[in-house]
Amino acid sequence: MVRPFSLDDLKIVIFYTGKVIITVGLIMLIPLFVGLAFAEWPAAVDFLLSVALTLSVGYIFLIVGKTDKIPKLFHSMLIASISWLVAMVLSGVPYYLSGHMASFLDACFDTMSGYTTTGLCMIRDLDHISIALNTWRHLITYTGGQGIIVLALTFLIIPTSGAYKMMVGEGKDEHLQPNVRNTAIQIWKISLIYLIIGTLVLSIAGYLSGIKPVMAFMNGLWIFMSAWSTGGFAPYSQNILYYHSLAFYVITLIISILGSFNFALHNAIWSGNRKEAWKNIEVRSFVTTLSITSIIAIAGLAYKKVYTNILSFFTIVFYQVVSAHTTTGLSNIYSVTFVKEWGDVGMTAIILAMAIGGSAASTAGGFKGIRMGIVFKGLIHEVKKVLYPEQAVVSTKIHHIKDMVLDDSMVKNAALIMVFYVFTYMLGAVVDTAYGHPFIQSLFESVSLASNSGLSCGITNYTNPALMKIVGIFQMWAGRLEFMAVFVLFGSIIMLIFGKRNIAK
Amino acid sequence: MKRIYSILLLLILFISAFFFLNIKPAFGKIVSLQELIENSKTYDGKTVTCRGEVIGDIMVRKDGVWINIEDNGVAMGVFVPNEIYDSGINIKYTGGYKAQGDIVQVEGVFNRTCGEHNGEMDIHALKISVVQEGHPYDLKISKNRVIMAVLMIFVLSILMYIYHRPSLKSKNNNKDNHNNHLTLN
Repeated sequence: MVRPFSLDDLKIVIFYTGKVIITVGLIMLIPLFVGLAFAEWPAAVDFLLSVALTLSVGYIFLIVGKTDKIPKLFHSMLIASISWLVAMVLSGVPYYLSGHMASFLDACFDTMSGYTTTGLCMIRDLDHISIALNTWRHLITYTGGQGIIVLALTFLIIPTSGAYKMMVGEGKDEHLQPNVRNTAIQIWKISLIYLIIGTLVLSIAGYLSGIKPVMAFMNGLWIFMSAWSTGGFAPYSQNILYYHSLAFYVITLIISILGSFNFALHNAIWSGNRKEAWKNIEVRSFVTTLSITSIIAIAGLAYKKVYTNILSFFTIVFYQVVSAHTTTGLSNIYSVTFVKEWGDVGMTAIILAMAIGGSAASTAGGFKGIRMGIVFKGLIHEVKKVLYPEQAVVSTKIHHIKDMVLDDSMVKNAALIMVFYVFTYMLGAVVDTAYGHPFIQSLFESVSLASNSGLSCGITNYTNPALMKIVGIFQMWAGRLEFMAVFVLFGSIIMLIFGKRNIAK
Repeated sequence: MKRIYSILLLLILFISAFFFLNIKPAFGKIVSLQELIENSKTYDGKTVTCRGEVIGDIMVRKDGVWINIEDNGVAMGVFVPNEIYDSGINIKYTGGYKAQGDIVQVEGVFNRTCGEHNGEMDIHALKISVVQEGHPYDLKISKNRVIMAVLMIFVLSILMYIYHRPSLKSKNNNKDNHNNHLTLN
């Protein structure tokens, strides 16, 4: 029996979406101040207009949906999925006003890419954009990495059990603290402490690389936001290659690995439980799959003699594999190099790494280490059951913060989400192939989008047909929210259309 | 005589090939950065001539200077050793939001994976010169956008007032509470 979709339901969804929009509008004040500080007057006006528009839309939502009712799981999933779409559109306004986008759809693609920490972009003439817009690009990715709703929960939304469900809808299903607001605050505390340290270290590296102090700081801030959020945006078209600095490679490598780990793991280590770093199933899964994909890439490229210098295998090949596996997408090679030089073996290694991705409840995308670990352990469990005597009780444990006994439902859930990811990976690959791109390249780009990685072999471009862009936006959005919130939204729309959920008082 | 005719014929064919097949001599030819990255194996270790706009920062290092040049949407790092950089190149503008950078012509060795610089793809300059000076952009504020922004702020103020004003219901409640308070007194 499907519950009816009442006006109260609609009001709850609109009201809480409004709160998230207000949060986005308030974050937009930061690039406005940056524009003023750097005397970028036209950019500052664009941001002023965008802030006023975003806050106005947010207040319209609040007025229309004003309610004191608490969201339940169903509402929370809808709030999460709709908020991300509305945030994408409104955040695209300053992009579009900048004149660097070929269309508003491209602006939406870039903002969705930012919020989902993907890092692929359609922006034209990136090397000439304002400091304000660059700040906005990286701020979007930083906010999206921790979660827009997590941010709204910290400041604007009353902490309730329903609020926790909104976080689940956003893919952050970890209770770091007993209270939901404290959990949100703890996520931000971890991120902000890393932000201060990371920005400082990268600013010093930038200054020592020959960049002037103020811009060294801005570059340090941007690159930290990008690496920590496993985003992959960079302020210049050459991406991380712009800096020509080994220090930048090493620091961003470390930051992106840290960013790809579960916030619960960070929290455990910060609380003094250092052993968790070695015992955690996600860390073990990450180390195993990173080693396998690195060996494939290094062996494949060594065999093809693409790189002959030993240092290149670390600075280029290993860097790319880590960037793919953490779903960061920072790159120190050109897109075309994947196709022209890395070839099928190298690209396959990167596709595998991107598809697996980082940890759950982190800033990373992909299948997630915990699901890989659970499915692998589930497989071993099944083999054991066959090999052991029938009377034997086979029990398998996994360790994630605490020891848990592996049961069938855990394996089923993990496998189901992985199947959804595979479908989403294939969807983009089929569409790109239909537009005439070779299959391996299409799969590369598609996996990059749906796993929110951001590495490109050159397909993503502002000249692409609208359908490819729309499918790309869908892949990034569905992959980031881990499907459930998206399914609830589509389910609600279908129910409304076919009349099974009628809006009734 | 036959040999002379043969040589002449070959020469005519060779020159014709230049015109009809549009083959240009390798030396001095300006190669686009796109062509370099797409055919990196062909150009690896060879001396090439490129042109591009200087963008971002000029990064001074111990043994030289890094500049990044952009040509038709593709950017690449050029390492200019100190002796070449100090010999008189004067880059006035670097490309960014506020300026179009100087266009430089670089003659240098192209490296597909540079052994000196972390395996990056780069060019080590042998000669560099500014061929076209950049200029600051005329960044004008759009009047229409300012008007729109002011209007939006006005709309926002009204919406904020509507949302945050005490509702009639809570006003009445407050009034009742106040009256009760007075009665009790």
